[in-house]
Amino acid sequence: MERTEIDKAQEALSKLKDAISAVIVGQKDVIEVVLWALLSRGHVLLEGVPGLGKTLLVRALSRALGLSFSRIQCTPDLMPADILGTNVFSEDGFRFLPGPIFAHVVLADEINRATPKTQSALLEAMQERQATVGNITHPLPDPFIVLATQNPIEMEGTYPLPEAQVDRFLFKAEVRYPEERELVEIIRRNTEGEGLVLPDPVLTREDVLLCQRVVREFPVHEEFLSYAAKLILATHPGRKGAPPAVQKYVLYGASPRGGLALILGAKARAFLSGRFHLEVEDIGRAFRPALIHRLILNFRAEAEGVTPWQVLEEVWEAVPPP
Amino acid sequence: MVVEKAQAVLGKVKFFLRLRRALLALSFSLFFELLLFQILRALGLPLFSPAFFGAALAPAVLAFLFPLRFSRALFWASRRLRLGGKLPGLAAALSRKNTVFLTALLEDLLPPWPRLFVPEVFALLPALLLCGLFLLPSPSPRISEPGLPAGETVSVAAESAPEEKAATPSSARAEKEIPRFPPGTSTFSPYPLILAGLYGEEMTLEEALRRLSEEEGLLRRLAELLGQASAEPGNEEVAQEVAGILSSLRPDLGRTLSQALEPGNEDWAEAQAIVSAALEGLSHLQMEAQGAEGEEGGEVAWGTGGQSEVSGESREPNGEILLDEEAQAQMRQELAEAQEGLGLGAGWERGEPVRPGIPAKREVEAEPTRTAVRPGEGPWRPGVALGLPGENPGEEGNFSSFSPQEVELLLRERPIPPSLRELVRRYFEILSGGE
Repeated sequence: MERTEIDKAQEALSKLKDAISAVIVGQKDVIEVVLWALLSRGHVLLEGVPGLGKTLLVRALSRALGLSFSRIQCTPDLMPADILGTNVFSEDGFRFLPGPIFAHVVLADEINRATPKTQSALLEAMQERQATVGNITHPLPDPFIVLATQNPIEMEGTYPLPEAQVDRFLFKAEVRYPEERELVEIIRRNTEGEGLVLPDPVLTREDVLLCQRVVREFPVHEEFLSYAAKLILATHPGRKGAPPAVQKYVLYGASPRGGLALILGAKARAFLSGRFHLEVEDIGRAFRPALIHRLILNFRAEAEGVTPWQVLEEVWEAVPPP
Repeated sequence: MVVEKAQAVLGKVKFFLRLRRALLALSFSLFFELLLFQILRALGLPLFSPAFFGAALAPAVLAFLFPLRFSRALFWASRRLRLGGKLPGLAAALSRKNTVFLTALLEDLLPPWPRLFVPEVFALLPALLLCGLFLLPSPSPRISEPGLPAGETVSVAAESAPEEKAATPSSARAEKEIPRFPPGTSTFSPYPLILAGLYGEEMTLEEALRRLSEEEGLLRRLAELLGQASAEPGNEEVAQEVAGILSSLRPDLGRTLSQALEPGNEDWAEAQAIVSAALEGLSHLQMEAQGAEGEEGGEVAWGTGGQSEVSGESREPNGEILLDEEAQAQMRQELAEAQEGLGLGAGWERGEPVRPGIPAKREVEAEPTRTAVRPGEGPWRPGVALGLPGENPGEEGNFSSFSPQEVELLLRERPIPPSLRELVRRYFEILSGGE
């Protein structure tokens, strides 16, 4: 890898951010988390009520990246074959007809409405980056990113994702309701002129792969790795150094994937900021999206209305930075 | 090339971190040593020596050599240098030999190294300053200080008062040879030297004051006895008591009085005069010595025993304290009252009849010139130390004479009121055995 390549990757990412921000009003944190996931070769679970622009964000991202995009609207009658694809009989015999999962950017809308069987098939594809239909394994395109959305308030007719499957999402981004100023801008953009215009491609597939490689090679000091490990371990009740809130409200702490997410998110953030070194602040910013969906609280926490973020805040305070 | 550069930067960080730790250790050890020194001094056990403070270097050396947890310290150093996580990033890139990232990190890496030391140096400076103060020569009296190197002289323009000129014609010379004083000795009090010279042995100022007080009591009793003896000569009891007191007095005074009271040739008046003069001298010496305790930074305390200061003094640019007329008048009045209380006029002449209790008053002429007192001058000086009140330590009875010129020099150097200068001259004349 050459220095010029890194500079090129940084420049491309800067353009990407600008292109997405030109379409999406506000939601800077969500955009940032999605980009971290893209650079880290991870997937994102977007949680938010309908109509907040989650789908638009994914579409804008795929357009700006110049990559293929597919959308899966999850419903209870959605079958794994509807996602992965199926073998169809033709004149030449059986032929594999790829499902919507075979795209660079996949939007799994309202993933919690799909049955556990379908969810499982999707999540397996996410993890393995391949889909097995019949006895043939088909690799998924590279880069591959799944952005799944779920509605946090509407629970009827849904199948909440099992914890093990939620863990496969590298980050969870909470899409918040826009502020008044942002809302005004959203209304204006959608009601004037030609309406919403998606951005033109600013990156190529190769650019994205280069950026992913740079993030992988991003040097991280051992102390940062140790810090991430301490943070993960501090979410485990019964562990030395775990704060009282963890001991009291946490049933299961974050998995090792949480540590990966923490470091990868921090590296991606540093690279997006134009730096070649990590700061504690990078880990701090990646802390919430990397761990908030990995903490399983006990009944007491639910009864007392304690949120995972409240517990995580105590964890952050309890572990001193390097 | 990039790798070497990164290694050099990290090596520098490591060295500076060790140095900083050593400085910190030095500050703390110096602080504790100064604390210990003060405690010991308060307990009367001054352990002063450069080696005592030199011992502070040992913890500093240990701190420098002690293993450093570099990976952790690197984060601290990076934050202190306001480089964020650049140094750990550099170390991480170096460990992976990632030259692309090394190049990128080294591009704008300009660590402000002094930042690593700023608070520690501020902590160390006061400690070193205090240490420096303690390393100055001790002001304790040492009459065996080396004398003035032969031949070293300095010319000073004479500015004697008219009465001084009258008393010592030689002092009227425009210039005269006086000893050169070593530099850096202007803040010490001469009184411990004078007192030590009086008793012929080294002692602390407190001890000397106690001895003076005792001697004053003896002299007052002797004055009473001499009065009785002159009224009724041949009183054996009185003669025995006088003999006892004479043996208890300091050698020079005892000898002078013994000569005056030689059996069969007693000169009561002269003995009384000597006792009165000695009392006067003692009183003044005590006053000055106590004043010397109150002196600090070259200020001169005037008044009784240095307890009160004459108001109305002004300071000239060259550091002289000038007493205005009101202050001079007050001072003269105080001295006159003191002399009255002692029963002796300031202008007593040898041979002149002295009646104890009745002061022989003499009109004190007004000071025609301003009295200049140089603060910080006239302290311990090796050149003067030999000539002070005349005794050589360990050689009892072997008085080195004080020439009139040296006496004049002494008078000019000391803040001695003009009215007492004649007394001082007489004092030294008596000490040297001259008339």
